[in-house]
Order: sequence, then structure tokens, then C-alpha cells
Amino acid sequence: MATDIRVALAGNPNCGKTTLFNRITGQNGYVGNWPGVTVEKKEARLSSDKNVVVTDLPGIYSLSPYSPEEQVSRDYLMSGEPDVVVNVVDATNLERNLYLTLQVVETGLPVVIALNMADLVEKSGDKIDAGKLSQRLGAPVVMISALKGSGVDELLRTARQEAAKAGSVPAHRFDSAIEGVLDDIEKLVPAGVEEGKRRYYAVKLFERDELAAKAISLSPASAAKVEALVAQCEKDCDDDAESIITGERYALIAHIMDECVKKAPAKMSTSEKIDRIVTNRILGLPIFLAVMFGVYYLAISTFGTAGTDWVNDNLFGEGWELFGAAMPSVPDVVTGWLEAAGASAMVTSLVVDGVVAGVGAVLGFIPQMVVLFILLSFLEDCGYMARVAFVMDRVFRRFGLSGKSFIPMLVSTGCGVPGVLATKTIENEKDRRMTVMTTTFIPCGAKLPIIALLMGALVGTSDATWIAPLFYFLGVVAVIVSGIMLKKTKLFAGRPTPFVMELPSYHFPSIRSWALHVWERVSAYIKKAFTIIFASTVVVWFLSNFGTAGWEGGSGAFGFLPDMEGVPEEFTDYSVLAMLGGAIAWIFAPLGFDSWQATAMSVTGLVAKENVVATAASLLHIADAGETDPSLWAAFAGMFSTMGGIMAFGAFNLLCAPCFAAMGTIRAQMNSAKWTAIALGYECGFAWVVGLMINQFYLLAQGVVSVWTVVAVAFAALILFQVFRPMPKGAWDDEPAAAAATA
Amino acid sequence: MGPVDIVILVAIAAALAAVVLRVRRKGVCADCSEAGTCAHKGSCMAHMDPLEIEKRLGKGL
Repeated sequence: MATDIRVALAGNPNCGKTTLFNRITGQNGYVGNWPGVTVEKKEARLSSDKNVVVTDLPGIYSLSPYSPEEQVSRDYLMSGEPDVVVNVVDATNLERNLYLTLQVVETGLPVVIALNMADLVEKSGDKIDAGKLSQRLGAPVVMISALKGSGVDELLRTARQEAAKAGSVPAHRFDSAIEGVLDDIEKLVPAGVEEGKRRYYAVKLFERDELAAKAISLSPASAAKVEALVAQCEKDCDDDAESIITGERYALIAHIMDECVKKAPAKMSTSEKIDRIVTNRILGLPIFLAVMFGVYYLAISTFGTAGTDWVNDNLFGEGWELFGAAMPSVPDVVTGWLEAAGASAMVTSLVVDGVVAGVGAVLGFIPQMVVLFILLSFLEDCGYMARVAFVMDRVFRRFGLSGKSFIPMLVSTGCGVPGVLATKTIENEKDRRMTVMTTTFIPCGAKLPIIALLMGALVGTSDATWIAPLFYFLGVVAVIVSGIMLKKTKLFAGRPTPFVMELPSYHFPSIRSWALHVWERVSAYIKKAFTIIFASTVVVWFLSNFGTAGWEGGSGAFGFLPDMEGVPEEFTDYSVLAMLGGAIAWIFAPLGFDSWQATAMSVTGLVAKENVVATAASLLHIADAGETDPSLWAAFAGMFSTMGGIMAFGAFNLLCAPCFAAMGTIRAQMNSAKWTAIALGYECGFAWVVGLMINQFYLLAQGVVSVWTVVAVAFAALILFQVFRPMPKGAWDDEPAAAAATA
Repeated sequence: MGPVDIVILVAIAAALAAVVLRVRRKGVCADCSEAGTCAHKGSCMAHMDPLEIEKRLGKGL
């Protein structure tokens, strides 16, 4: 068998590495149209040649380890593992991307430069002389379009050829005075360091890169000599070492650009024209609100609902007609099979009322989910969501927050797990922790069924267009309010992380990537329905059907309640689940939902948010009723004494601690039991307070006043005080780097 | 309780056990939208401390 060839993909954030990775390996890695999507390396074998292993590295701007991604990428490149580095360069932003390219070439590793988005360069009228660029950089240059697949075969062919070589020799040279110092430093690099990497380490030592000095075990004597050389050079150039090298690189890039690129006469591109409107200081935010309103309206109130209604009314309701023939519903078919096979009432109930009702209720929302993800994926892939981060940065910064915190929140609209994972790109530890704590306030896909159920229960119709967007905006407001409040506490005080972001050109997404994106999310939802949700519904069924015959005239024995003598219609009130739910229902009494059913739904929602609906289905037989049946919504609404209670239930379940999967990720990202407890405690506490205020203010409007009204007013006053009080003196005194140092 | 009941209950118990094993093997992150890119819990970056990742990647440097 041939020896494995290891190819590393390196490049700036959002230059198309993951798109290229997916294309050449056939993987479905998440591609987002904003920086920081790949926060760890990913590996896969080439589709066309299993002997080639491709590693997708996080996007970086330089090989100086300022952030964890830069550290990860540099360590991997210098570990000796990659046989060839494919430096993916966004050809539409060549000048900025070349800064990393010069450093990658300096490593001495075999390098191939892939000028991605070559089609867009051509469209803009610019001309890049790839041959001359290759000559100036000392590495082959291939023009490609990762999205369309053009040039990719040639790139792989070139990469194979380069992998067979010993390494690349950088063709660029700095100013002669600097080169003289670098030559002297190179002589001090230990003899054990490979010839091809000596110049790289000389440059790093010049930049006073301690990690590089440690990596080559530089002796103290040599280190002292290097320091003397660098200090003298700094004195001569009247600048610090790092700035000297940065300046030299940019000077070189300017020369390379002059020689290799012919710019078309400047004119405003379509993207720039669109951006003048969508990122406008005044219009940007209202446009974003209108877009998200449209997304949730289309997904929940129009196309999505039509599909979901059909599934619930026909597939899990009264059956449907196919070419004139009556087709029974799934519960009817299963009940028929079980009765024909002679199954007992208990087993029939377990399968039909437990598994089919629970899993079916969750699956019924797939049409809405598909529409939601089609729209969200389009907004991400076409480049609009990147603009939203930019627009939100302006809003966030006003309150001392960073727009960088909004990117994980955009990711969270799909799933909280990658959303929390995306916080790794935030260098400032305090901002990162705060973002981890608040990012799951944004409704993920799994919360969509809760929103749809609430909509029906609140207004009894799926035509109430404002309900679904309202709950989305509740999440956004919760993030902003929490951010402002937390930023003014000692735990999170500090200057917001600088947010520099490249806005990608607008483009129509590739249908393949778009479809994969939607399928990835929908398939995860289906997978969850048949695993975690299935297991939960079985457990909920047992807990809600077994109990003690404690009703008047009951025997007091424990067993399957429906089979007991003299069992009342509401037998679940005597179940184990009723006992457990009832024991903690008092916590939610001020929120207006003290029934054991609502409590049980909230608790099972902590396992997976879809469980809220699945548990409701199991307890209320939702699957039998069909979503458009008003009796279903009436049954759900019947758990609550007021409409305020329903809204409080929704707010609590959307804002409280996320599912187990996201909690596990929060634990891993916080790397501290204390901080995990703080995060989950804050989420649950904040959700409870919001629920309390909603219910109590609703009751107040109805003329009902209690001690909890006073508590709700006190909480509201406290929140308003914390939000509007000026930033404490000295809160921004520390620099981001200093803030990041504390663990 | 007839033989059909026992067969169905055993099937449900087996399915439950399979879910528990799946969660044990893959972690709850198996249900995240990126689950397809992770083979098992050990390789899930979401469950890994960034310093641990750096250490692992820095091996042999």
C-alpha cells in the first residue's frame, strides 16, 4: 500500500478552506459564511485517493500565536506531520491574505498556493498573473474556485508533486539591513534544526517569539546574543522588532501586488451597493428584524405550517386519502397491528400513547424545521448573516459588548452545541465566558416545536404571525440585557474584544452545500427523535402510567393505573410523574404554571428541548388530536390558569439551561465546574425571573396583586438599574489581553 | 401478559439499551448538528479543553 500523504489546508478565516475540504473529501463539515467556523482541525481522506489525508486547519491571519486557533495551526504546521501545505488564499482579498502566505512559505515546508474565488476576480475585471506570483513567492500558484470545483484537480496534482519535494525556499527577501541581522540569528539557531526551517526560526527569534525559542531549545547564551542583535536593530530602525518584520512584509506585499495584479477601474460592486443599504447605520437593524420576522413567519405560519398540519392531521391524525383510497394514520395502523397480535392494553398504550405519540409529535414539526433551515442556511451561505454580526457589533459595542459575541449566537439558531463551540474564537476570557452563558438564549431548531405549540395555545390559530418572531426576539433581547448587566459586574468587566471582520461578497449559495446544510440539521433532529426523545417518551410513559391507587375508594396499591379498579379518568394525577412533578411544582407557582404536567415538561426539556412537546404529547395525546384541532391547544392551555402562565412557561423553557448536549459542551468550554454551575445557574435564574415578571405583570394588568407582584417589580427595577446605570469607573481600564490572562 | 407483550417489551428494552450505549459511546453531543464529523466522544472537540488540543497537536514538536 502506498504511503499516506498528509495535506494541510491553511489560510485566513473565511477564505473557503472548509468549502475546499468538503469538496475534495466529500465531507459535510459545517461551512459558515463568517470567520471562525473551523475552530479545531478536521481530518478526512481525499475522495479520489484514500492515501491522501487532508487536514482543515482553523482560519488564521498570521503564524504568530495570538489566539488559540493560530497556536493550533502553527503547532500543527511545525509538528512535521504535513507533507505539503495548501495555502488557501481569497483571491478577491489578495493583499491581506498574502501576509499569512509569506509566513507559510517561510516555514520551509512544501507549499502550494490556491488562489480561491478566481471566478469572482475574473468577474470583477481584475487580472492576477499567477506565474509571476509563483516566481515572487517561491511556490506554485493554482487558480481555483472551491465552490464551483474549477482548478481543484490541478491543485491536487500540484500538491502531490510538491509533497515529494524536500520543501520550499522562500523567494522573498527583506531590507538588506534586516537580512543581515537574520543571517546572524540563523547562525545561532541550534544545528539540529533542519536546513529548510532555519530561516523561519530566525525570523521568529527576531520577533521575540518565546514559544519558537522553546521549541528549538535555544541555549541561554545564544538567546542573549539574539537579544543583543535584535535590540541593536530596533535601535537602528527606531521601532520594535515585531513592527519591523510586519512593516517589511507589508512593503514586500505592496511590491508583489504592483507586479502581479492589474486592478480593473474602481467601481462599486453589487455587494457594496447592497451593503450600503443592509449595513446602513439607521436601516441595518430594522432590516435584520424584518428579515428574521420573515424567516419565522414563513417557517411557522405559512409553508412550514401547511406541511406540519398535513403530517399531524393525516399521518398522525385521522388518516388521509391516496388516489381516492382511504389510508389510516400511523397510530391507527399500529393500534390495529397490536390488537390483531393480541397485545395487552398496557403494551398498546405504551407503544401508541407513549412512543408513537411522543416521537410522532416531534417528527410532525419536520416540515417547519425544513423551511426554517432552508431560509437560515440561505441567509448564512449568501453572506447576509456576516453583515448581521457587523450590524450587531455597532449595537453591542454601545453597551460594552463585542460583535464577536454575536457570531456564536448566529450559529446557535441551528444548534446550541456548535454555537457554544464557536465561542473559542473569542480571545478575551471574560467575554468568552459571558458569551457561553448567553448564547443558548437564542432559540435553536429544537425550540421551534415549543414556539409552535405556544402559538396555538396562546391564540388558538396558526395565523398569529407575531408570536414566533416574538420568541426569537425575546432570545436576542435576553442576550443583550444579560450582556449589559454582566459586563457591569466585576466578574466580566473589561474593554470589549476588538472585532475585525471581513465581509464576504454576496453570492448565491451552491445548491449542494445549501442542501447538505439543511440535511445535516434535519437529520440530526430526526436522529434525536429516534434516540433521546424515544428513550425519554418511554420513561415518561412509565412514570405517568404507573402509580399508587390513592383516590377515594382506591386500594393504595402500586401498579399500572388504567387497569386498576375504580380508576378515575384523570388517573395520571396519581402517577409517579405527578408525584415527582408536584414535589417541585411550587418553584413555578409564581410563574403561573404550578401543575405537575407543566413542571414535568420543563424538567424533561432539560434532556432535549423537543421533549417539552413529546412529553405534552404523551400526557395530552397530541398525536391523536392533530395540530389544527382546537381541543389540543385547549388541553395544553388547560394546564395553565392564565395566558400569562402560558407565556411565562414559554419564556422559561426557551431561556433556561439548554439540553444535556449543550450543557456538556458548556462544561467542556468553561473547563471548570464552578463556571459551569455559574452559567447554568444564571440561565435558569434569569429564565425564572423573566417568567415571573411576565406572569405577574399580566396578572397586574388583570387587577390581581400579590406578594409576588412586589417581587416581580423589585426584579424589574433591579434589571433596569443594572442596565441603565453608567459603566462603573475603571471597568474598561484593563486591556483585552490582560483580561484574558485570568483563569 | 402474553408472549406478544413480552416480545414488544423486550424490543423496547433493547432499543432503550441501544440508546444508552450510544450516548455512553458518543456522548450526548451525538445529537448535535455536527455529530456527523465526530466518530466518538473521545474525538469530539466540543468535549475537549483547548489546552488539551494544543498539547495533543504540539506532540513531537
